[in-house]
Amino acid sequence: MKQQFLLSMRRWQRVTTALIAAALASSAYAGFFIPKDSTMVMGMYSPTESMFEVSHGVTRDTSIAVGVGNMTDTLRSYRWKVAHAQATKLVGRVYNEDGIGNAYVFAGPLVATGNTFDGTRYGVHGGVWADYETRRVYGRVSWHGYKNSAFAWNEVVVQAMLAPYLADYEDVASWGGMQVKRRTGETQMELTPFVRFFKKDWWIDAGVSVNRANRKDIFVNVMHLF
Amino acid sequence: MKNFSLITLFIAAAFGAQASFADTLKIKVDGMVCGFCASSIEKKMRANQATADVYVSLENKIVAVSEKTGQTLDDAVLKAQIADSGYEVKTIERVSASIADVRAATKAKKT
Repeated sequence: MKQQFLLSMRRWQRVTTALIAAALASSAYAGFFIPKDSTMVMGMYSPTESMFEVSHGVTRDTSIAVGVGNMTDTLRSYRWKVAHAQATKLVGRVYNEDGIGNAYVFAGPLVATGNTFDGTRYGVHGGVWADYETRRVYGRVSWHGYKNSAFAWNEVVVQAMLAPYLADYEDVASWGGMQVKRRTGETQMELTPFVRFFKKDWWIDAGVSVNRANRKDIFVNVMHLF
Repeated sequence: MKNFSLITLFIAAAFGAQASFADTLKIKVDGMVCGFCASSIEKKMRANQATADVYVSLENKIVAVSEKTGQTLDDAVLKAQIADSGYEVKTIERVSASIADVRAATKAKKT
């Protein structure tokens, strides 16, 4: 009986550990805008950044999110844990028959702990995000900054993607492309070829970095829309 | 007996008339290029009580919504719901066809 209880406890420990590990996803996706009345759960992991975020669309042009994440640099000289809340505002959208372009701003409070400072620090984070998409091409540029009394940190992300075939709504859409990321304190841009698959309310990104400093760093991003 | 036949005929006519009211709305939507984003439209359409079925085609940029027999979907409500999902409705066309018919027609158009 006691052994069964211990086994069950260990199983729960493993599940909890797995959930915490999954809860380490990336600011490369913070800012993602969610349509009104939809809720999205996102988990992202890479060796240098991770984040778990829950977002909800509250109006046609505003969504809110809360998340937790870890950040470190290639040399692991700093390790920060950051919890954040944010509001994302759609500030511009252009439509044409074959494509859609969006511009968003996002901002909110953050709380951080880390190995480069004592205690808990409160601060703010925010950024801008612009993308354009057709069924064949996707392009995105975003900037995300963090600021508190212990650190100021930011990253710029550029993504360019191409779809090898035109997927319809009921098909699995497949994309291939390149992500370029530049972060405070890094000497190199992080280059990550990656693939994207989505079908209806599931979205998966996966890539492997190829620049010297980040070579073989795998990143995975999973999103589900409710 | 004659009365019974008349009642039967009346009921049959009434049901026949109701069936003809079960329309499908073909909604042309601009900017609908991503299935992940469009899934919020499908969810909203399915949440309507009068909705029987939904079909989304990125290829043809249409959302087709069929009505339950005897119930009517309000064009203005659908338009507002799609706008809330972040897209722009270009046109709404009411057709006497099932979702299966619309799906078959769009697939045939594709090939």
